[in-house]
Amino acid sequence: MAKRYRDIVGDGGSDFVGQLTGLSDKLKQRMAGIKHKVAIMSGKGGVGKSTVTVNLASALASLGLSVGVLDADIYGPSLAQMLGVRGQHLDMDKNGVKPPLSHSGIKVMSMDFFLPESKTPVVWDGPQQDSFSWKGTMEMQALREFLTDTCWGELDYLLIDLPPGTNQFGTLVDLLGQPDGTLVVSIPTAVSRLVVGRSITMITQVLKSRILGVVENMASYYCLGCEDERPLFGNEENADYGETPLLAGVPFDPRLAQAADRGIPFVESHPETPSSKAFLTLAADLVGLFEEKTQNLKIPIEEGTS
Amino acid sequence: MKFVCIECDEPMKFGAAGDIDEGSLPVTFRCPSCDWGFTMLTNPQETQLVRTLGVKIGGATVPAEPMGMMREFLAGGHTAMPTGSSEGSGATAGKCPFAAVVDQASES
Repeated sequence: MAKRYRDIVGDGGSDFVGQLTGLSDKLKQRMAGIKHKVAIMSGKGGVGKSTVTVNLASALASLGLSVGVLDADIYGPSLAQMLGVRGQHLDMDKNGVKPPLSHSGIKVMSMDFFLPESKTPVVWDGPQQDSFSWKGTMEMQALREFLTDTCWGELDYLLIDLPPGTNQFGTLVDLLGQPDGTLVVSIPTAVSRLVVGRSITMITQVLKSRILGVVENMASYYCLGCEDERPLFGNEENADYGETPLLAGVPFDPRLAQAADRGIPFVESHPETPSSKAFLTLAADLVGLFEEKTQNLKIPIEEGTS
Repeated sequence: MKFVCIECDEPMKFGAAGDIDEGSLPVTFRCPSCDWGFTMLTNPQETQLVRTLGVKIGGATVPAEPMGMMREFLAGGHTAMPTGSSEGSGATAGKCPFAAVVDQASES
């Protein structure tokens, strides 16, 4: 009987499985120094994932925690601009690339650093005909290199800012295994809640990942004139994300966008505003959630060993 | 992908990889029992897919440099690429993943 695929050990000399395992092992080694890897995603575009990422990172850093952010939006990178490190030169040695540091010491890696000019798009060299056959793999490899080849060092939190949709989340799980937690960003509109609800189902039921909760951005409008919060979309009260808790509602403040344009997280430039306080509370709650998780993991071990 | 000699029912062994020509890479395999061989010619998309996987046909001989894929394949981004020492890496590191194989083939 002729040999079948599984009858043959190895692949004739290339050892592709061994090479891919080696890449995976390098990634695991790099991630070993990071306590909590948190994905920030949304099924919906334009809801403020990067705004949440930048200001949550800044809020965590203000608690004395070491924080890194990875801009996993390969084709639309924005975190370098929002954290004031755009245009910084990357230094590399045999161990990897040193991530630029924001004003408050947040380590940043983004495709932005690899593009020579502000209007340079991300274009891959390769056969352009039928490029769909390899571009997905290229995008996965770019994400792998960001994770593996960045000298993250020891971090309390690595926040991974994903592009809209669930596709890149699946890629992240393929590369990394399950993140320690996921924050889903939404806004208080029926459309956003519909689309985000689908992405929550995808993450929890198909990809079997743990969602920490939903952050509703633009949950209200902070009026600079009357210094009070007002409804923005008029649908604030009807948040329903099933079993996924609503962790925070962040008021919209026009200065949030201005701070992002200037490269200074709003939490740092305006710490006393309602929006910043929402991010600071979210950061404290996030830390609490992970402490609670750690305690829950410790209890049976302690009981079993006592 | 694995190949079996239909005469001997033996797995074929990697022989050599040639130069990429118009996106096609020739890779030769031989039967260790009867020495019958053949050359597989990839199409440009297949060549690119293997390159973007970060693996080398014939086996990895030098460790990949940090951000090697990005440095190799990002069009127009080369002037913004990170710089620094590359201790411990060979002359072909950071180039096309097939380069080491091609170098070996040309040396032998």
